[in-house]
Amino acid sequence: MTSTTIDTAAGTEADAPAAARSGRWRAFVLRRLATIAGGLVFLLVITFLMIHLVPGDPVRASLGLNVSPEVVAARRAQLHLDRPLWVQFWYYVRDLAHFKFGTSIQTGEPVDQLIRNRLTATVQLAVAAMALVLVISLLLGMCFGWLTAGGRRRRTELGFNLVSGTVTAVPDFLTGTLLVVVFALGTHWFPASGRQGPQSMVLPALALALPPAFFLARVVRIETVKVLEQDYIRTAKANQLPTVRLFVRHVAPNVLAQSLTVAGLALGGLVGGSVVIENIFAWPGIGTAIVPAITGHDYPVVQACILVLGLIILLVNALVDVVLVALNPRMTALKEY
Amino acid sequence: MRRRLRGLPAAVLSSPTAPLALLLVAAFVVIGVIGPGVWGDAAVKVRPDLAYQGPSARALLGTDSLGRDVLARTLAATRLSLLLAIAATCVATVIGVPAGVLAGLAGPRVRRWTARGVGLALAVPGILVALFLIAVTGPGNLGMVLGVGIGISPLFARAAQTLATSIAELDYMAAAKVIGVSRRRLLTRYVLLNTAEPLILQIGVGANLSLVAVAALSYLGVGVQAPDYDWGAVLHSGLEALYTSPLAAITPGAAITLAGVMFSLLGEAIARSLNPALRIAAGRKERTPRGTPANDDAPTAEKSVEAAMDNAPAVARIRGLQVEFGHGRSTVAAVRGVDLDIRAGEVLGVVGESGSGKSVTALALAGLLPPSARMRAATLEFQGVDLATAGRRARRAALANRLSVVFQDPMSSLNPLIRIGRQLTERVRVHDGLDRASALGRAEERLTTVGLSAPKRRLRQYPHELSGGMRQRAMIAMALMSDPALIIADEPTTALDVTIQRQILDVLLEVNDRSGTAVLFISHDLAVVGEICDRIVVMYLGRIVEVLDRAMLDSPSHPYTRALLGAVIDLDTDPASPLTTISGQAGPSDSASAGCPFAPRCPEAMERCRTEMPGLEPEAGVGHMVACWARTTAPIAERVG
Repeated sequence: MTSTTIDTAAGTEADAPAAARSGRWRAFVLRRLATIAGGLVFLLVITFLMIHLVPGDPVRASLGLNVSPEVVAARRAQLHLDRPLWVQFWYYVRDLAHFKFGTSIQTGEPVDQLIRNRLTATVQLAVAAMALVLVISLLLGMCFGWLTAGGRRRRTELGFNLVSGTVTAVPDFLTGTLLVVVFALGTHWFPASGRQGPQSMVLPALALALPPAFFLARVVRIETVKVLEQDYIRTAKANQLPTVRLFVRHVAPNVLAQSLTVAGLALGGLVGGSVVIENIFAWPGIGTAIVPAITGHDYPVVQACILVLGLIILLVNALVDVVLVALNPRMTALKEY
Repeated sequence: MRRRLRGLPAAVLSSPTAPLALLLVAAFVVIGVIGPGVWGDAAVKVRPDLAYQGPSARALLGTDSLGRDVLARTLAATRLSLLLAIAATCVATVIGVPAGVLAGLAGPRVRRWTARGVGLALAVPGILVALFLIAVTGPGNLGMVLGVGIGISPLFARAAQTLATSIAELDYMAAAKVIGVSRRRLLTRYVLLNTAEPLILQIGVGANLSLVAVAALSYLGVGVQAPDYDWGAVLHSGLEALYTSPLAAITPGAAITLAGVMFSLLGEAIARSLNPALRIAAGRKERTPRGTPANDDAPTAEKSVEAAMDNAPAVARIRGLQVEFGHGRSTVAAVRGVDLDIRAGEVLGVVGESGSGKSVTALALAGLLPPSARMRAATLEFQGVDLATAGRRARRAALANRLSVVFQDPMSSLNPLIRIGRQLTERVRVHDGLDRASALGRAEERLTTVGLSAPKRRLRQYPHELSGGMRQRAMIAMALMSDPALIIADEPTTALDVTIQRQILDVLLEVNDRSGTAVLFISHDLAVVGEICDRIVVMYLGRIVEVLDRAMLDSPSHPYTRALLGAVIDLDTDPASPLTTISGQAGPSDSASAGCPFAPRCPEAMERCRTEMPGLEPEAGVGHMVACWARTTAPIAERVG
């Protein structure tokens, strides 16, 4: 073997990154944790400060003007509003750690009870919608990416762009309205509102999912076309792999790795959309709780709702990051992440 | 027309979607200005007796729960809706752009952290930020506009940061200075125009997002408060009437969508007009007409070829191969009738300039032509199976285990997300049903064969952990996994260092030596080919012009081969000699022209060369063939003398 000896030099050169891999992993995880922790602290501070940012006296505002000063003072003491700011913040964080969100000013009900009841509904809807977004966008995008690869089928591409562009441009509340008009009022296939059984979830989940799904499908199609042009796909074809295997093992992971950052943003935006959609469909989640709480100056409820929705977004982002790294071994080397 | 108009308006018009954008802008501006005056009274007139009515002459799109005219309300709400969206966009610009610029001009460390923060902020939907601010300020326009603006500002911050960073780097600034552009023109023409484009695009998108967020908040009842109303408020009362008159909800929804599209299109049109590259692309939209079947080249005289090629068993037989790309008038013929045998165990070199069709010929054999290619062949036989006529399954089965390809660029030919071990074993596991352990065992053995150190560890590594030379060895190992009868090596060393090139060639030769695998070695480097190949095929513009043994390489017949050889060996050649013609362009010649494609550049071209195509004819010498009138017409003795 003439070449073995020369190769050892190249071997040590390539071993360096292998040795540094675990170190880079640690740095990556730390960077991500720091970012998430930063987001969490920001969320805590901002929800805590909310009550202090309100012009005038929030307690007065929420209790009304014809309440005796003693009641107001008692209420302030109950909310620790008579203590220094940092002490209040400490109490706030400590209570949250024990899952204590205070009591609703409007109903007197403990807020954690309210959150517990409604979180399931919101998470259920959001998870269903996110699953729909991923399935629809990946299937449509990869399918049309395959069909239109290499500049083939220009008319199909145009049609796809037109349809997906239209669905993306229609805001989710209009999508929801149209779905109700057609599938609830028109065909009576699904209930128009409420949360009774899995059928009642179909329309709100679709309304929430369709705009981001078609937006992502465009991204996925473009990425699929790009991936199909890559040399390693030609290598896989040279190995005569069946088309399905080629797509599942070679195309899909690369497409996913390329589209996931955008997908993370779309999924985060979906949490915002859920507030509107829940109200349209009278879905008993966080989104239907926060609106009357805002109009009724029910600050503990608003605080808890914002905190929970923010946490969901942080969680989705963290999940997307994990999947990204699991998919792409080179990710840990990128400093931007 | 685009030429005659000047400045920004003209540029805006040049965008393909610009007319639509301008039409929408005009319509919305007019309705916004006159809306409250014209339809304001009808919009607020409560008629309980007319509630929940469908379309009628009185109210074209029906009425809401209080009997108010839905169309009038929607039109009258235009002004407030648009103003709120614009106000929110302004807030976002005022906050996002300076923040982004500052971050962009900061040091790399600050830049990275702010980028990370902005990335996280981007994930927070604007409507949540708005809900938070409205909770602080109380329901109303102020909290909504501020909240939506702040919520959308990260979008602008990111665009502005990119902008600022690129201004700070300014590579093209230096270039512009060199060509002598005045300072003021430099700033407006180069800096602002080149960098503002993404920002304006984002502002268009941001305005769209603002509009939708404002409408959503008003719909929720925490935005615009009665007695004022915007589209969101109209939508709210429309949804109450949904069961009886859906149009009451759909009308304001449609208005919101249209206005959103207007904002996006306007941003796109302005951005496009600022970017000269996009502008040109828009003006020169290419159309590729369909149809027009390719014109047939005269089928080559198979008989004489058959006679000339000796009867050693062939791994692959190619007859009359033609490959075209594109459609109609833009059709390019890459291969124009190639006849070729690859014998068992030989190292066959194919040389030619880029565009000579050497790679396309090999890819056609391996069934790897891109989807845009069209192929025809009288025979395309691999190990006795005619790939041209076989079904997909049979073709795949024939190629699966006996033909392998090593590509040019090892850096991009391995899937970056899959470990080397899995990539190497995939083929034999799929086609031979080998189990994981024995497949990995074979992979380890093949890695050793190609001289990779620590093969066990390599199997667990990802491609990016290997150097270029190592990756090409891995590619060859992959090619060897199924004991192929033929390896197509498509310029396998071009992308590598000179020192690594030699090693890779040695590995290939050793494989050929040891297991009798035929190698089709494609290269533009005649020196390398002459060194390692038994037989050499020279291609020019999709045709084979000469086939010769290595021994004959010193005295080739075809003028093109001689010129190539001259280009390789003779470094002292006068640059004015025919050699320079060779290094000139070998543009895809007109398929209509009948003569020898090399004639325009050939120093020995005769009249006949320009009118008639020479066929590949046997020459003196074993297996030597040449396609040249200057050779085949004249008696050998005459030429030698």
